[in-house]
Amino acid sequence: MIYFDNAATTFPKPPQVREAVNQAFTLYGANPGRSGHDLSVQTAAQVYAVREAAAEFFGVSGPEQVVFTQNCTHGLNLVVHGLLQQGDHVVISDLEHNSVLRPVHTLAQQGIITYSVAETFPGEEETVESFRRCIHPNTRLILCTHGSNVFGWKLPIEALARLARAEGILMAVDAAQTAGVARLDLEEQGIDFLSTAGHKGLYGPSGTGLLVTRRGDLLQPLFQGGTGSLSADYNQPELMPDRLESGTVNTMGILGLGAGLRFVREKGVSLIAQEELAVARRLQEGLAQIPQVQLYSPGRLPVVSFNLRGLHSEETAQLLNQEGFALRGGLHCAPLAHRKMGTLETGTVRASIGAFNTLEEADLLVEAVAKVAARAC
Amino acid sequence: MPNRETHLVVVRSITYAMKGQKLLERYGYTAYIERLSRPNSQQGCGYGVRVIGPFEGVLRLMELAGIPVAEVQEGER
Repeated sequence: MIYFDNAATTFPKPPQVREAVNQAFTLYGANPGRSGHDLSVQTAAQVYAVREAAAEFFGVSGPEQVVFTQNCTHGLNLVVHGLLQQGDHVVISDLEHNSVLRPVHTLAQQGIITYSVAETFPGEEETVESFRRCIHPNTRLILCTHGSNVFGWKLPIEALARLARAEGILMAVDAAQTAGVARLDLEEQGIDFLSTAGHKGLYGPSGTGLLVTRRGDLLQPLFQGGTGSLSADYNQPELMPDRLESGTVNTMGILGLGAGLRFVREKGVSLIAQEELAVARRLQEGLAQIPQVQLYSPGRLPVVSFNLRGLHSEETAQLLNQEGFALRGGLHCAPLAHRKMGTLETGTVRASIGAFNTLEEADLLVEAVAKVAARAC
Repeated sequence: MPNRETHLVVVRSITYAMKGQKLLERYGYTAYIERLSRPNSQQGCGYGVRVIGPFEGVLRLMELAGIPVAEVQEGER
């Protein structure tokens, strides 16, 4: 099986990630931050090292500004439900994943907030202007994806953060698809909240994610419980990250994520992006030669969406599965993006590239698509 | 062997204890993490940074790094 579903989760994981998870099971099995025995303190030191590495990677000044989450969706919910209050307004984009759309829409359905969907454009200025037009006097937050998980378009988050700052509102970014393939620096880019998956471009195990924030003090916790700190107090601690991290953390996942982060840092974000984009371009060029293929606008991320004329995307994905290729069909949990592109009925087939895909694999996929097209269309 | 002065800097979380310990080690202090053996009833269980030897400048460094200190317990070892 040749795996092209890295936007869902990267696979395979680097050997050092597997080794770190194994080490966590064999050497660091105690509960970090709960006890005073050596094993607990040593485990806590390992978890802290990952927090520190993540803080440096995402450009925040302190490890306490890094919250370990289950996934990107978890972090986004911490922001939406933890920040927004009665009467607030939010601006999201027309490319959002359900991880943004659903929590925002839920609060709107409950009559707590209102929201606007800003149209996005290929040009930065047009997109920023579109967001500006959506801002109301009660707008509290701009919350948008950094990059579409379906079509690979990137949003100008730095310019949007400048807009947010100028308007006195907060800026949150869904970096599920960009962490590991695009530069992200909260302080330099003016981002208040950044949520990302640990198991995608950061190559950690599934069940890991990060919420990185300079404004954790503004978030009301969704969960309260044991933190190993201030335990005599009936109130949830105010301090970060304990405020947002009740219950035992996923030590094995976090240590694996730490190894994934080291893999990305050692190889370099720009080299990873460059290599993945080269594979994506090769794929696009090959698919463009197949008459039955409908290709959608190539973006600036290593994601290629296409359809075979006359087939539903799920049918095409199934036929490619039979040929030994793992791709995802359907809506990719992003109905807004498909509505925008007119692909809500059929969805698209998505090939998403990871650090271990090669140009040769792209060529093999093109051959398989041509074979399926000749047979089925 | 002469007794050495020690201080336990009580902080409010394991993350701040780790941050404090690493910070102090970078500045040449001997410091390690310690679970509070006699936590007060207001705070409950928690962690501190045990500093062995010279203590001057420790609290200032922690303040500059944004590490809230709950209390300092003096002792000898």
